[in-house]
Amino acid sequence: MITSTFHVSDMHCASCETRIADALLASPGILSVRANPVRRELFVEHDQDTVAILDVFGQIESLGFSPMLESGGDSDVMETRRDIKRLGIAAIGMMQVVMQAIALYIGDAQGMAYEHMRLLQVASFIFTLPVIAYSAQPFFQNAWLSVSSIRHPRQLMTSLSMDVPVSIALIIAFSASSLTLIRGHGEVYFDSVVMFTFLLLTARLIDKSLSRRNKGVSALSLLPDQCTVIRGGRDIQIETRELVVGDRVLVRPGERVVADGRITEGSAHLDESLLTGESDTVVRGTGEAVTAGTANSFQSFEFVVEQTNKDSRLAQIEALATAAMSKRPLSVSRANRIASYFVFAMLLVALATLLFWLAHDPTQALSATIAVLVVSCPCALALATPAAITAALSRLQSRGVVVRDGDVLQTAADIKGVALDKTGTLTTGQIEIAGFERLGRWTEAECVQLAAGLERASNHPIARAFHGSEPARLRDIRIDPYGVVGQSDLGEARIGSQNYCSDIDSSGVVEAEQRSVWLSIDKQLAARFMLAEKIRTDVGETLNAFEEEGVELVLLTGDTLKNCRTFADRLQVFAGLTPESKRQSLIEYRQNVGPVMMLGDGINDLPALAEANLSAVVLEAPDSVKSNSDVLLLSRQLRPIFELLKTARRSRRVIRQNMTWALLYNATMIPLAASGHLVPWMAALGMSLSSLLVVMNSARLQARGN
Amino acid sequence: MEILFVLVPTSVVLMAIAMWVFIRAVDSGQFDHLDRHALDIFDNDEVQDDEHVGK
Repeated sequence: MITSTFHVSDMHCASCETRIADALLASPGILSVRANPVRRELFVEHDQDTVAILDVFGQIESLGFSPMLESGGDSDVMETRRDIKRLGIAAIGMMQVVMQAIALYIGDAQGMAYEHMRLLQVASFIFTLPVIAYSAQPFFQNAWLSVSSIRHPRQLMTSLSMDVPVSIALIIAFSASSLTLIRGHGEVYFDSVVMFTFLLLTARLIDKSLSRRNKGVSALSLLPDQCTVIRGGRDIQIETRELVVGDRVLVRPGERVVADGRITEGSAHLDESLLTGESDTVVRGTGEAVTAGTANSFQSFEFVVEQTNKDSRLAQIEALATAAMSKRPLSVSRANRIASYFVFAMLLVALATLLFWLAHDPTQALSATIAVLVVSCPCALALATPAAITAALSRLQSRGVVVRDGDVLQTAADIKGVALDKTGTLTTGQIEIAGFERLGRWTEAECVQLAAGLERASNHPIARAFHGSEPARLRDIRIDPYGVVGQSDLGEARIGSQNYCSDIDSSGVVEAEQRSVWLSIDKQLAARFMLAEKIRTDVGETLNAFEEEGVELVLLTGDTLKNCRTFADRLQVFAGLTPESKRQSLIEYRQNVGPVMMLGDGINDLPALAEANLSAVVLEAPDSVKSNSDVLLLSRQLRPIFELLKTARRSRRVIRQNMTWALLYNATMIPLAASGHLVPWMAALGMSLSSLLVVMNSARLQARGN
Repeated sequence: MEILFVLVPTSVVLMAIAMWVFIRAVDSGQFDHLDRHALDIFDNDEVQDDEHVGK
């Protein structure tokens, strides 16, 4: 049983996918067929003994598609080249034909010699030929696929793609004009044909490049093909895919880390922007973890591979993002269905127009029918939703938010309240020094240096709080269960619990209000360091942003109320909750404010996450929590979660604008076209500009800033 | 205006050449990576031939 991946570059629409899937599933030995419409990939699970890869390949080919085996990159390049050629030929053709059309229109008005008119018409025909025969091919192919997939009259209304009226209009306009040429009198529409083709291709190309940018997250391909490993004391270059767990890898400045692992030598200055979307360099010391895809920006270091890149965090994130894109959002399928009905209705209108004018004024019939077909192409309608969703998703990805699928945006736009977990969500899970109390004759600087020197040896979360400070030089450092001890110039320095540092038995002393560690020199207390959980740096700013947007916030935490004081004046706090009571609080909260998003990080949040309309987790959350959530936050900041809500609301607004525009446009233009007030070239211009407008409006979502 | 019968066919021929040149240009990969040359500066210099090294 294997899964083979095919790249099918001409699988454009939902009906193509269904057609392939239906045909493949009908044959024995094929178990499942999945598709990723964005990357145009087809995943076929089949039994090798019954059906070989080449058989599957042949079957897809026999349906009229051109599959390629998994290469991806190459076929992408070829496809882009073909698109550019089509557009270029259409552009060159359009320049010439329109120039001659202007001469012909002027000739119409002022009178021109018959031979000159014929000459210009023939020249227009010659320039239109490559445009219709080459540039317009994709429209004809799509139209043919959608028509030939109809097996039953009932499907007529739902499976017609918008390329059907486009193709009919192009073919009628071109053949009618060619006929005029042969007969020697009548009108020619070559200008409409080339303009329509060129502008429509432009709109499609822009839409394509928007969704291609969305692929940016496929970061595994950014990993270098080769890496340096240290085996038997020697550096050797090996292929990245040959890397195994336990290899020691040398990462030079400027190189990317190729696998997940732990630093064994040196310290790393890492650019983790690929994973988190943040550009600040982070410093990781010996013993700390490094992640595949991060870039070493300063000095060489070595690490031991713990997870090869197939299983790395990068791969997981990518799998998640790919899964999100391979699912077609409900709203998009709905838009496609509406477009199909619309196409069917418009074909009827065009037919009615043709019959009406044939009965009343046959000279107008062709021009009006072509205008109706061209102007009614629901390109804008069909692009309205997917273009906006694609743009919004790719914006979110660049901000470090991965969503499960496009439908999440729909839900996120409705969110009225956000429930937050504290530990690991509002705070980073790291500990920092919140206060210092001098207890002996040593200065603060001396104490901090000693503490840093002692804690340097340890990798405990508390010890890490001291790692940023300049350490003192110490000898004979020993790590004990309750602290660290070492010899300094000032005497024996100890850091740890109060008991560990002094001989005075303090077990009777009331538990200090805050978590602290003590420092002593020769068993005399020197200082007390108050510890606190590190709050994510942008919490305040993000809370403000939420308030401005009118979103309610609540803190649900298992921690004591005392530890939440920092937040108590900013938001409603429910402290001391068990996982079950967290769920209860969330249900009540949801009843009060409406749709709720829950942001959490751990197993204890799972029940509440499951109840929330939208569940979001931070990157540090365990896999079981991550796999069940709608949104994954890659960033170490909180702001992206606000970004999600804001982008979702903006994308909903953009979709509504797009829809309104598309419907308004069609509602005003179709009557004009049917009544003969629009000539075909105006229709071509109007239709294409309207698609362009929709795509551009959606691209606003992706814009940098705000 | 008889000159039109020379000029218009000439323009047809010129356009045919323009299309052919354009197709050649695309196929040669000129438009594959439009921002590639801006990034060239980040590439390492090519390794020198052995003959020139150590001389």
